[in-house]
Amino acid sequence: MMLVFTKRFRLSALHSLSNSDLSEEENRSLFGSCYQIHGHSYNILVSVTGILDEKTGLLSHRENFVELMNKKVLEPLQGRYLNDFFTDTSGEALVQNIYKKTQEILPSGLDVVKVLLFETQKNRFLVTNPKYDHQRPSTLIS
Amino acid sequence: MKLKLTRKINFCCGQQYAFSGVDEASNKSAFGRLYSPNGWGHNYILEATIEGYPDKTSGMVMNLRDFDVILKSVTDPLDHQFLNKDVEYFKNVMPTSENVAIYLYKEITSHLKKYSSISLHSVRLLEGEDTMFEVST
Repeated sequence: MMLVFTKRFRLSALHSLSNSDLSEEENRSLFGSCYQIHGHSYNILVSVTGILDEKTGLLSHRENFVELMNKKVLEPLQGRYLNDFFTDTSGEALVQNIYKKTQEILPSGLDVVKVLLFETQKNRFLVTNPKYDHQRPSTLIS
Repeated sequence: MKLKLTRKINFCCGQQYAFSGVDEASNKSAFGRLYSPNGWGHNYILEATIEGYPDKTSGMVMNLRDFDVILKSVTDPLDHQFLNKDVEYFKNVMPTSENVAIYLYKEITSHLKKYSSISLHSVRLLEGEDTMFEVST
């Protein structure tokens, strides 16, 4: 039996899609309005699996995981200009970045199953741990 | 072609994460912010996903009317109850959302036994908008 715990995190931040190798005109033509500095209210659904603590009935370290995610991954980016932190701030890059950071801060005994990032209501990006490919993708909790 | 069918049902219940016969400080250290002296409640959403082949006569993997009867019969005993006291199963098992999800997975599995061609794929239990537990084989 596999138990997966999913937590939704919210991140509001600014970004602009641009490539420093390109001229302003080329950037404008490639990225269109996304070249302008703008913001998103990202919704990030992080799924982890691990061992159920038989005594407490909780997935071991799940509270600790939520706290670390907030403190180490999300708070530093909250309300900030993401380009100050990453060279690429596309949804594709951001979801991979959060996936890697989640793996770094994850308490031992937990494993990342997937990270699903909603940039807007209309587009989302999913990275799945290849170990858990058979899991169905999360949908936005409706 | 084999396919998956998901059906939702809502139920509400109260619970407390605490060991009985233990002082408050020990409960706080075991459960952190999840411990509260009088417990709390959730508006749970259960999503059950079954897997099977559409029936030749009806075209359905399972008649939703029958699926609803199963989902209602497993959630009704929990609905508007204080799990620790009112539900036999949770007198000895901590009524965490993890355990509620596992309980529902087991109960639905046993109700599906009479349907030889259908198996339970997964149970997803939503505590609200931000927290979700999924149990699968």
